Amino acid sequence: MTTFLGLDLAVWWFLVVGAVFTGYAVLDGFDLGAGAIHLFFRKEESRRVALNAIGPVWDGNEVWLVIGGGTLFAGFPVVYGTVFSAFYIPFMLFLVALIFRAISIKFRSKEPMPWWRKMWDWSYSVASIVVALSLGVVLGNIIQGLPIGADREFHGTWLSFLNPYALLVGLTTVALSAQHGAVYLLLKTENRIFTRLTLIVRQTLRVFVGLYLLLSAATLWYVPHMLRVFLAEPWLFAVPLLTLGLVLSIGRLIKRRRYFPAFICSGSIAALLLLTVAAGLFPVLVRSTLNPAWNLTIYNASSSPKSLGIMLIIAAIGVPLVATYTGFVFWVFRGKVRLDAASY
Amino acid sequence: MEFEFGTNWATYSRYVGDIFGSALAAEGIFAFALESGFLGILLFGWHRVSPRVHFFATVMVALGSLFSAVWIVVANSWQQMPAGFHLVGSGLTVRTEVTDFWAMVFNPSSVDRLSHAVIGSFLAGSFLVLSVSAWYLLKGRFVESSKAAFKIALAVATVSGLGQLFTGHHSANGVAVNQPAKLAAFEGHYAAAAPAEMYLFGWVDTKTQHVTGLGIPGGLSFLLHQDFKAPVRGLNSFRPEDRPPVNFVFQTYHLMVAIGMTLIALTLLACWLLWRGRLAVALAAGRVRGGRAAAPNWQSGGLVLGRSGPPALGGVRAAAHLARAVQDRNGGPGLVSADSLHAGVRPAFRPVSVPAEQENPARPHRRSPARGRRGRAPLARFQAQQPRHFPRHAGRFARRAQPRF
Repeated sequence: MTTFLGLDLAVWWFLVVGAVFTGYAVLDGFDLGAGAIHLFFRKEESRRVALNAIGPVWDGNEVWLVIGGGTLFAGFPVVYGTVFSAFYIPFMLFLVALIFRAISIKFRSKEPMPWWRKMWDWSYSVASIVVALSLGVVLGNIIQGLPIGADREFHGTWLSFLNPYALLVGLTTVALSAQHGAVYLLLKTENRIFTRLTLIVRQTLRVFVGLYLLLSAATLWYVPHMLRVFLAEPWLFAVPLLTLGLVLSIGRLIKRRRYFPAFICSGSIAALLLLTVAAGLFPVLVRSTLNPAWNLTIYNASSSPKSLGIMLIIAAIGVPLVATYTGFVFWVFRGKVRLDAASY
Repeated sequence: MEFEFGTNWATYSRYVGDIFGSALAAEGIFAFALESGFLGILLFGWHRVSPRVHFFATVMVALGSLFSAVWIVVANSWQQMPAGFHLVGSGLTVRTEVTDFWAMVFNPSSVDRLSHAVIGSFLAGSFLVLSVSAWYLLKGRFVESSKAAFKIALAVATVSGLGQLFTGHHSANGVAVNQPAKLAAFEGHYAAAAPAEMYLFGWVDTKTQHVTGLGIPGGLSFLLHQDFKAPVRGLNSFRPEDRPPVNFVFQTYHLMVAIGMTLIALTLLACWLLWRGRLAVALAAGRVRGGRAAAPNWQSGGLVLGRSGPPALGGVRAAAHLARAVQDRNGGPGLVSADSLHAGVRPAFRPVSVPAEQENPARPHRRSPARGRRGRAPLARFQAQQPRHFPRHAGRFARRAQPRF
């Protein structure tokens, strides 16, 4: 395997795919979270403001998932094929939910009838929760491993995805997004909805911290192989410890009304959790619960080195560009939400 | 769609991931992000950025769509006429690996298909704008901007429609060289080497290998070789397993051509009427409005045609084994959900691009109008656009003086 700056191309590509999916979690996390808590706002004005807080940026954020899927396809097509076809039902569910989230946002304010707006509000909120939940369940199953055979195909049923650990990961994902979204909305709103949110964010934080602690304990119980990697390289413990530190400090930041640091904290928590998973899995991408010889690793499941090299060049040009103009768009829409004629 | 490659065609994804996946990832990185990112500024940033920056954002969105077309057509063209790769491995783990990236990107059909697809998308988009502007003009709403939009869209539609004749012809010439079985299926041409007819419409009987329809003898030969008597390679010169489903390809091809010609005729008619100042009357007669439904059908007809040719990577025997290996157990729900979702959502898309309270100030639906951050009312320019005397219930058939333009 050719190397670049000391790392194999496969390792580089593992980092790229991980970075893109992490970017998705941090960015779309708050969109999904804002959707998850949407129904807690009762007033028309509040709901409209909440929708417009994510209005200009949600589309660009969601695209990171598509880029993630694309980079997975390009770099590790075997994993892409096996995992996506294995998770057929959850993926179809979350794709439909994504579609409904998108059309709910766009259609909601276009008609004045209360029933119309209520219908699309419910659709938006339920869809956001379904997306977060199904992605979490998929992640939970990846962490545990799948019954992959020698033919690199999944040999199981979709009902096996609804095991307790995966569902816990799903719920934690929803809770983390809700909390991340609540802090984002606190940054972007004022007046009545802001006051409401100061109460909501405390509740979401409590739920998330509880689920996070439960999940950490459950991971040690259900997924002992993750722990093995950390014991082998003790310096890796810095990652979960840092995560714990951030989780504990978020409450204090919110109480002191330092919302931007709190937002950075919750984004970092999402990133660090995914980093923990990546560190625990590396270099295996999909563990086979049937026989470790049938694991899909970054070496046996990747594209050819030539292709990885070409794609790395494309990513090196493209991803910084994407980050730059994403930052530019966020900067243009800085500050509190202002409803105008062009708003949702 | 990108996810459905993995969910429904997992074995195929593993087979072509090196190449097809690269094109898709490039599309995601360069095109999707560009378009979606700047769309936020385009839609919501009217008053947050200068007009120059806003225009730049608009151009970026258009460029993003264009790049998207480039990469996905490159990927699909590679499927039709693969180049720049070699096979590695055997059996079910065989894979295509890229040997020459630029040969892969500029495979024999990508430029043809790209130009045809891009001009086709201009055509579909301009027809959308035409039908929405026509609707507004008939309703008497947004008259000034609809007039301008209509004229611009008509210009784009006319040029695109005529342009499709050229790009389509060029593409067909390419297909004749690289995918002759597909070309033979276009016109249901079975005879192994004989002049081929060009049908206006017809029905292919695959058992008797006879086409019943109205055709121009030697028409296809003329289009390809400028000679009515030139032989065209027919389906009988291919093995049965290498022939595409003939009637399906024949019908979709002719549907595409029929819709394309209709659209060209509509745009030329509309141009002539506009020139003669009688367009308003024609609009009222509903003649131009019919174009709205046709353009998307044309697009899908062309797309279906493109994909119903011989199986991808024709000539690579491994493909047949892999086709059998793809497990079909869960294919149904995906297809059903995507199609029914699209069908269910389309009726909800109507030309209502401005919230009702701005459009119809006489009928507020809540106690106080929307107030911005400093208590300002919504933008004056939108309010100025609405005639103050707009009747409350105009109704679909309300008659008012048609503007002459």
